[in-house]
Amino acid sequence: MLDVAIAALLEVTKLHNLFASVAGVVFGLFIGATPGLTVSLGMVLLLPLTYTMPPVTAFCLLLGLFASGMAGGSISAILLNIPGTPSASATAIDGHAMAKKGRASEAISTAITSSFFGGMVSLIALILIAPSIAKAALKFGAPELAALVFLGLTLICSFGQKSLVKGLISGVLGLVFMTVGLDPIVGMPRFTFKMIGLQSGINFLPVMIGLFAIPQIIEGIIMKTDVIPKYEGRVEKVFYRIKELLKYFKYKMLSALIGIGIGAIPGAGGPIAVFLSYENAKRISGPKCKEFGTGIQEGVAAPESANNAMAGGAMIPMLTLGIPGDPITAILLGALMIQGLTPGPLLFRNNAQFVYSIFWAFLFANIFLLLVTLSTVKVWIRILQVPKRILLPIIAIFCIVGSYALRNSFFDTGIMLFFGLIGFFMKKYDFPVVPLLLAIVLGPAFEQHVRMSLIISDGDPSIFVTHPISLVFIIIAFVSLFSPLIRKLIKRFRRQGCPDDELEVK
Amino acid sequence: MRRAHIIIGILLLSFALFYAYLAWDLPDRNLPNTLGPDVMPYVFAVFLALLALILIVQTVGGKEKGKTAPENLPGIEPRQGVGVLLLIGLFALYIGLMSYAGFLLVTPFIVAFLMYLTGSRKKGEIIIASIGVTAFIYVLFHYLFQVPLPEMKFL
Repeated sequence: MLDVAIAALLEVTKLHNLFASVAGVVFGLFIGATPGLTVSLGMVLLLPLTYTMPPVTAFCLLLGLFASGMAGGSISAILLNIPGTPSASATAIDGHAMAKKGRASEAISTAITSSFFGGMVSLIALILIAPSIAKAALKFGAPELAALVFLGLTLICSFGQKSLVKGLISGVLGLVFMTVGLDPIVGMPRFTFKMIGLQSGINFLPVMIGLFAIPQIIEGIIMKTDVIPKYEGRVEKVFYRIKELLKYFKYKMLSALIGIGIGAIPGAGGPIAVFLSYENAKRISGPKCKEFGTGIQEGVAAPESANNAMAGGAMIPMLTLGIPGDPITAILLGALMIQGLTPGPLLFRNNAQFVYSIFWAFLFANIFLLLVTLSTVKVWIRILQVPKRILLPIIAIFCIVGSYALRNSFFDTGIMLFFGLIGFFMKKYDFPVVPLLLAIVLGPAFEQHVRMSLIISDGDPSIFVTHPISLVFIIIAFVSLFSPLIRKLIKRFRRQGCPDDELEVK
Repeated sequence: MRRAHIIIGILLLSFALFYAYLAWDLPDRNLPNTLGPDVMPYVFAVFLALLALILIVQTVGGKEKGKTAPENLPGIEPRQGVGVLLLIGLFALYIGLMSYAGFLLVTPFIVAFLMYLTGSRKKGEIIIASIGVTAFIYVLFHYLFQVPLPEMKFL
């Protein structure tokens, strides 16, 4: 294994791969720091560029964006009280309060060093946990895989969703769209309406671009986005604050563990992890509990550590089981498939060097995040003022060209527009889009494994409950459907932290 | 908003029934001891129809409260809805024109028009940005990443 790891390190440290990592970090900071642009959007914009790249270079680029995008959202959260990404919403509470007191530099450096800390802890967890899970998953047969995908889909549709019914509708719609194309077992066309473009099914990459990018473009052009306020305060150089990496260690470590755990659960989502870690920080701070919300470093360190720790946590099920937990890892899964690689246990067995390359790429992404951001923080403040009238047309053309470039097919651009329209209306009426996307991604595997299981069992459906692991997955899936009740219990538990305080989200 | 949710429920129910009708045309299983190509579509159609009915009942019953309650959602005004459809139509037109006239000829015009829609009124800014964006994307995809872009068909 050591020789594989070293070979992977030598590959990642080639100049073009390091350059790709830095480029990803810079682009990710831009995306994360600009309100209205999400990390998912940044990933789908970069994805078409990876079509012709070698796999390692592609992942250096995408992981650079992943690491820095999560951290970059804290910059506008701190300076403008507008989180650049949903996962930066808890950072805005104490971060903006610190900025109002003239301590913006301190807040930003705390956010970035904490992001680095969380990212590194999650990388260690990924390296330690992922190979074991992959090894165990090699023993899974068709019933276990079918039940696992069912669990993943149920979690995504139910856990963390505001409305269970809407989450399930979104997921089932995705499964419906997934059936378009050739039947996975007998190979006959289904719902293709004799159109050649639909013979190979609906490719999820144009769907992804449509669902995430087009609604934002429509929002900006038709709905007219709000004017972004200007930050008038001073931000000093912060590079010397790199020595504060281990400051507030217990807050950062506990929050990182929360981030890893939540990130590993499909569908759990960023805001859950950051607010859980914020509440936990209040609980363990003792007498300082009442100062949270007034502008203290612990209130920035905890959520930012959880924020970036989620990245490594989310990659665990994606790499080991092929189940993405959120849109970002779904895009990474898409990137793997573009490169002809199938995520799951076989990836660890057949492409071990590539897996280690991902670990090293993640390490360098976090290092570059720390170095680049702390040395260029003043640049990012100017980035906040880039006018939407220039950004939106660029993003629109990128989306259209990107979806065309996948297979040199205008049909795919049509798919992208169709799902863009669906995504826009879903967003407006509060239907989550992530279950739809992930059902299109995971649905073919689900149907294939279910039908293969029935072939193995001569048509006997009890195979799913007589296999113990499959039964466990199915039980957890049904339990997750009752997650609204679980959330009520968590809310009751959270109120016991600081009895006289109410968590205010501005 | 409540009415919109009821309409969405009815549309989903109709879609589920239509989808089940299309699945009817698929052949039954032709391999022993396994589900045929039509079974999973039927299962999904049934679930979709049930969920659509639950959505309608929930909305009519008015049980959902708080931020996710239908009356508290922003929704879309009719004028905005028309604007959205027109914008998608514009993108479709751009794609159609690009397939004949090529990327380089059509893109500057769409970029300029989009900038106008987003509030840009300075002619110099529009011209420079539309040509610059077109050139940037062309160089990036065509030369740097070796991804061919649509070319003119009629020359």
